[in-house]
Amino acid sequence: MQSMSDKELDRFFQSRFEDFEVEPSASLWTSIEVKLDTKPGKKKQSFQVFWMAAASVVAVLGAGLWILNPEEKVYLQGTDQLAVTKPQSLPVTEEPSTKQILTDATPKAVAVIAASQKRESVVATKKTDVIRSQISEQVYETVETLPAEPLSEAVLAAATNQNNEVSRNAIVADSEADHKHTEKGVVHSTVLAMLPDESAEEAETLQQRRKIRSVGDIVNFVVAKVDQRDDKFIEMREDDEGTKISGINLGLFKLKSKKK
Amino acid sequence: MAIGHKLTIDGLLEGCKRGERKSQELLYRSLASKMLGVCVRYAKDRYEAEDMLQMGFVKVFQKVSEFRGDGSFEGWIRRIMVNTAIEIYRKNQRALSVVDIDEVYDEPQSMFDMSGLETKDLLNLIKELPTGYRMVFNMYVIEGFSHKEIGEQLGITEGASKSQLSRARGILKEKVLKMEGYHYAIHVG
Repeated sequence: MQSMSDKELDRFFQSRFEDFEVEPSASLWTSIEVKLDTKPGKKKQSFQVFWMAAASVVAVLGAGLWILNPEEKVYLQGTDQLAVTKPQSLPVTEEPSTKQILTDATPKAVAVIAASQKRESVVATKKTDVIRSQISEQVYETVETLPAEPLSEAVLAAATNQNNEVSRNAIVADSEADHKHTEKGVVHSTVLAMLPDESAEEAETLQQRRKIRSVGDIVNFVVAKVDQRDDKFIEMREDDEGTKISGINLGLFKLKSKKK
Repeated sequence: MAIGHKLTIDGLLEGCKRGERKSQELLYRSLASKMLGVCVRYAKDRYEAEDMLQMGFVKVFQKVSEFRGDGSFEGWIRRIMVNTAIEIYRKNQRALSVVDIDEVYDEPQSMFDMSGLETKDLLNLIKELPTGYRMVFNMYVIEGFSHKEIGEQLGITEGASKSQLSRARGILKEKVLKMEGYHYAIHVG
C-alpha cells in the first residue's frame, strides 16, 4: 500500500496512543509535594508585602505633596502682604524662608556675606534708619553690578544669599525701629523683599543652564521642574565619592545635608 | 478491572477535595504514567514532559474543588494536562520567534530503526514535527479538538489550524511509509 488516507493515519495514531503510558521518574511526586506545601503560602505573603509597600509609598508621597504644595504658595504671597500691613510681625514670618535659603549657601557664599557684614559694620546690632539706607545702597549696588561682571555661578549664588541676608536684616531693623518711621520703613522693606526674589530667579535659571553630567543632575533637573518648593522632594549632590542624596522632603519628613 | 480502576479514582476525588495528602499521592500513583503518556506527545523532550506533568498535577490538586462531575475525573485531569501543554507552548511562543515552520524540510529524514513500528517510534515522529504542527496534530487527531477550538487556544486562525494539520499529516505519512512500508496496513487493519 503506497498511500494512506487522512482517516487511516488518524486512526493509526489514535489507536497507538490511546493507552500509551510512560513511567515518570521516581522523584517527581516529591517535587509535586514540595510545590503543594510551599506555593500558596509563599504567593499570598509576597502579594501582601508588595501591596503594603506600594500603598505606603503612595500614601507618603500623596500626603507630602498635598499638604505642602498649597501651603507654600499661600505663604509666599502672604509675606508681601504682611510686609505692607503689619511690619512688626515680619521678623517672625520672614525668618524661616531666609533660613531655608541660607542652608543652601556654599561656604564661599557664607564667607562673602561675612565679609560684607564686616565691611558695613555689624548690621544686626544697629537699629537706625542710617544703617538701613546703607544696607539698601549695598543691595542696589550688588544687584546692579551683578549682570555686568562675568561672575562665576558661586559668586552669583553668594550675591543672592547676601541680598537675602541684607533684606532680612533691613526688615529686622525696620520692625525694631521707632514706629513713627514705620511708613517709610515699610516702603523700603517691601522693595527689599522683592529684590531677593528677582535675583533668586536669576540664580535658578543659571542653575538650570548648568550642564547635566550625572544621574544626580538629571534627577535634580527633573525634580526642579516638577517640585517648585525650596526643599525638593529629592535632591542629589556630587562629591568625591560620587552622587549622593543630599536632601529629602516628604512633607512631614525632611532630611537635608548641611554641607553643599 | 477497568471498572475497579475507575472506582478507585472517583473514590480518591473526595479525599483530594478535602486536601488529603494520602489521596493525592494515590491519585498521582494511579494516573501519573498515563498522563505522562499525554505530556510526552506535546513536549519537545522528556525533561519538558515531566515538568508539564508536575505543573499539571499541582493544578489538579489546587483546582479539584472546581470539578463538578460532568464527565469522568480522569478525563478532567487529562484536559488539565493538555491545557498545561498549551500554556507552556504559548509561553515558549512568546519567548522564541516563530522560525520553526520550514525547519522540518532541512532535517535528515532517515534516522530510524526500521525494525517495526513501536509507539515510541511514532512518538519520535510526532516530536520531530515543528512545534506548531505538533500542537495542532495532537489536539485535533488524538484529543479531538475542533479547528475552531485549536485556533482559539493557540491564537491562530481556523484556516491556519487546518493547513498546519494537513502539513503535519503529510510529513507523518511520508515518514510512516518510509519506516514501515506496506506493514503498516497490518496495524490499521
